[in-house]
Amino acid sequence: MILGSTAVRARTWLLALLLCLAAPAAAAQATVDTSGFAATPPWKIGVSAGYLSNSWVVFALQYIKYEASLHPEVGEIIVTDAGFDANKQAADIEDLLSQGIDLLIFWAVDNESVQPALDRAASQGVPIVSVGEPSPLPQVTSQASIDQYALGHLVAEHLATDMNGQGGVVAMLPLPGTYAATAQLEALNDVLAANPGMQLLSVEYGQWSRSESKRITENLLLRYPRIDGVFSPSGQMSLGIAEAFDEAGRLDEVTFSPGDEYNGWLKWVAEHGQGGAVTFPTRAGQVAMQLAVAILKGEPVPANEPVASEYVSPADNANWVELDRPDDWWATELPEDWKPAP
Amino acid sequence: MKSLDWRTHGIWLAVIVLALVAIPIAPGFLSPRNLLNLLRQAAPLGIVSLGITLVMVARRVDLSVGAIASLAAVMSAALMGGSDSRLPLALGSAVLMGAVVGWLNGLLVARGRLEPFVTTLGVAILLTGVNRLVTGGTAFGVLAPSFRKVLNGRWGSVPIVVVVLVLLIVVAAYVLHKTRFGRALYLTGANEAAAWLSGVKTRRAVIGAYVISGVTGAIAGILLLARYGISGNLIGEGYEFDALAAAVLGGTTFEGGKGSIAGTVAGVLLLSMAYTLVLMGGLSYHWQLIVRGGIIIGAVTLYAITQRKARS
Amino acid sequence: MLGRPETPRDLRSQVGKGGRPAFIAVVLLIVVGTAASAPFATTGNALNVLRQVAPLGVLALGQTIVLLAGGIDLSVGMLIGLAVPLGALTMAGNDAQVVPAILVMLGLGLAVGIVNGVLVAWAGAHPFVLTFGMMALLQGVTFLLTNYRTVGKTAPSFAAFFTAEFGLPGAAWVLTVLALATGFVLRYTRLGRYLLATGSHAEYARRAGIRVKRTTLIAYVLSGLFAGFGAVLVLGRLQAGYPLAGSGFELQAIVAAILGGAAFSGGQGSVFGALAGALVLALVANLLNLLGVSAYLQQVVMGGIIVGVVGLRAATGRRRFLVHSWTNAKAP
Repeated sequence: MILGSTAVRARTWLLALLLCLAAPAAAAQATVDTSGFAATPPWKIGVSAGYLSNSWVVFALQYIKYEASLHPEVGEIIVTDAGFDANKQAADIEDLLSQGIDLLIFWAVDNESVQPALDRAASQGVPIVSVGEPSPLPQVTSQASIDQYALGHLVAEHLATDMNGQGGVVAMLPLPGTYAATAQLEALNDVLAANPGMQLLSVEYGQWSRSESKRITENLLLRYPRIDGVFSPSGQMSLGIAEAFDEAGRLDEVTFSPGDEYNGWLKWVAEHGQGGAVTFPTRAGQVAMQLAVAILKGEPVPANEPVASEYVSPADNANWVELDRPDDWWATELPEDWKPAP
Repeated sequence: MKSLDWRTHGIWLAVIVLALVAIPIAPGFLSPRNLLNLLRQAAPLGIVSLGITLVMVARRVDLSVGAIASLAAVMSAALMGGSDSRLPLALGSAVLMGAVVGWLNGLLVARGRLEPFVTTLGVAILLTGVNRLVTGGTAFGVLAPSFRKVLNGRWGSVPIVVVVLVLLIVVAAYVLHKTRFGRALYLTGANEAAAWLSGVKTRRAVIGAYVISGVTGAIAGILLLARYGISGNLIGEGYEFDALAAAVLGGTTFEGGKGSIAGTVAGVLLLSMAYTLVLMGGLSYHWQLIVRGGIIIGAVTLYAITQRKARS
Repeated sequence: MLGRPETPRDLRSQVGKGGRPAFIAVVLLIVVGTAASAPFATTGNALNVLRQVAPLGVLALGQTIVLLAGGIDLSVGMLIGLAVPLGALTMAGNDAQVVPAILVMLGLGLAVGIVNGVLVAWAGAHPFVLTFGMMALLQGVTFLLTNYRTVGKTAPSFAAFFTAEFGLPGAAWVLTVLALATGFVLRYTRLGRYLLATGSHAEYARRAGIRVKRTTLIAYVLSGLFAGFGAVLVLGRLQAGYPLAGSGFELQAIVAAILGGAAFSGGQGSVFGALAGALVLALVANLLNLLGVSAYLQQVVMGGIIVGVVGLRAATGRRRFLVHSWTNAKAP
């Protein structure tokens, strides 16, 4: 590929720099000129997964592959899995680059640690699309991002409404230190500040895990004689929490925040008629691939294509839940053939 | 009798000290309800630790049990397909899988004389890959209705999983301390050459220990599935190291020939108490880690010192 | 004692032999890789592999030293996890702070090594459980320090050293120098013989007048120090104070060392073997990526290859009963 001319690179960098300076609201509308990235098909696209160990990313990856199947120009998709190891992700990206990929899609183990590897991609003129977590990195050409603050805010507001702005809340967040955890907590704190009747009893980290959150909750139940509300934007963790409350015979005292469209949680909502969901759309994978295709065609793309979360009330839940599907599954519009299968 | 040796029981002292420390920190700690809760949480770890103890007495180690537990959970969920009538098939196949993997481990380690630590770690990586390859990355399968109801139920006020744990402890203690097989494990671990020369079927003993370890791994996986539902493919991840630590805290050694089920049970209790205590004390996650690490370091150091005193 | 070397010459000749299967595996991987993948045998990819293997190689050296002396160190991964953010914070984007930051990282390694070593050698704590506890403790301290975030900033000159190539990538030079130094110490100094003797049989070593406790301490101190060097390389690679930067390194280092001929029974292992073991892991990962093997299948192959190399070692090694222990220092 001879696309890595200095002129193109300088232009991308300049644009990226401008984006960094621009206000977030303006950045959402900014477009990127990708004419320098236009490539002749068939395209080879590399996907560097920071991890593939939960069902959300598996669905997002299926969306990437599905969207690619709609575009005959996409010749090959190579997927690597870093398994939550930042060092492995750096190596994976280097290895993808040696195979002469035309474009890199990634979700990071850690946004800052992936930067040197992205630098190498950028210096070889390979455009970069990030998916899921918003990426502040200048090397990223465009991104399909899910705003965890907005998601957390929506979840917290519905919780506050359902609790009538009163009571003690425990928060169950994913891995400590991750963007998801910090952004969700920030959103929760902002909503709590507007609801002086609510107090934050405890912040726990359930590591996206139903079992871990259940274990933690069993102990929280012993520590607090009364818990009025649970803030848990991840349905997978909400399930574990709800089971612990149920087994302690204390399900009646507590109000659950919306989870997400994790099928196991949607089943719980269907059974108990509360909580609902704020989606964490796996469709982000599809949006990322659409951006990738546009970039390789040289069409202008937005610097950030937000994939918005939406609220599913317990009443609407019937349209989302799939009672005959496993728990470890996501409500999705993927065609049947593209749903994950053994 | 081996199981009454003071050295293998010094760990109970640490358990008692920790329980005493717990009272002012978490007033409800010694309540029957909390203790049963603690045992219930400790059950999967406890069961895995029993199998590991047998393997370690025979001077080997098994790091594949966590991956076996994960695969057993995913397998049985997939096979039961939401129907009670398929429960025996589902659970039976999962246990059989554990036994077969254990048997293969045993063959590699006993017959092929492969280094057990890295071999079983390699097997764990391989099994995890197979797990994800077969499932396509999501834990498919719908649980049978009575499966969770029964295993999450109570017998009187005692959770069923605790009953299962106690039963398996008794069985393991009997096997290790009262049978010829158990004796063979001790002799093999203490001096494999001498044991073999004196007619002990050392290879068969080692393979047997691995089969049992694989089966306990599978049972732990099934209990985890019952306890937490279908929650991803890697539900047993990390159990192997906690189990190793529990066994070693309880006086089982890597050089074999030593160890008891009672000691391992104490080790499991110590680790589980450390975990519960830091949570109940309301510590933030980083302090939980620091205190937990401190407890493990303190216990292993204290244990080493008292053991030396006892010897001299 | 069964299968124990009897004379110093036996001791010496046994030490490095275990590295051969890993070396054979490296050669096979290179042959297969060259045949199967066009980009594999390019200079660019060779440099990539060197960059990729450097931190693991350094850790495998440290772990080999501890294993040689009859111990084990599980704390090195989380030690890196603490040292990397600490280094990035110290550096604070300032070229003048590069040397102090590196000294802080190495100093932390030394300190943790001393604690591990003292508790193992003098208190008699079991190294596996002790360093397992140390893992949790260090991770807690890391989170306390970083508040769970990626912190600090590396300096331009530090970044430049790791992106530039001086014939070889900067990180590969660090590994080379450390490997040569370790090889020299193990082969030509008294300390090398003491480590070997302590790991082979602590009691005989003690009777022969070797200060076993002090030697054990030195082994853990060196392991900590090498983890400090590993942290420097990881920070060089990631250029960010990521608090989970070291997760999993402890197991990889142990696997690399064992593949390279070290043994839990102590008294075995070599620099050559440690490097070959680390290279096996790095080459397999690199080749699987280059061949576009699906992520899940990669795990299956990686597990199979690990078992295969251990099997090769068992098949080519001397026929003897397996012994593995991490507590020779406490032999009666």
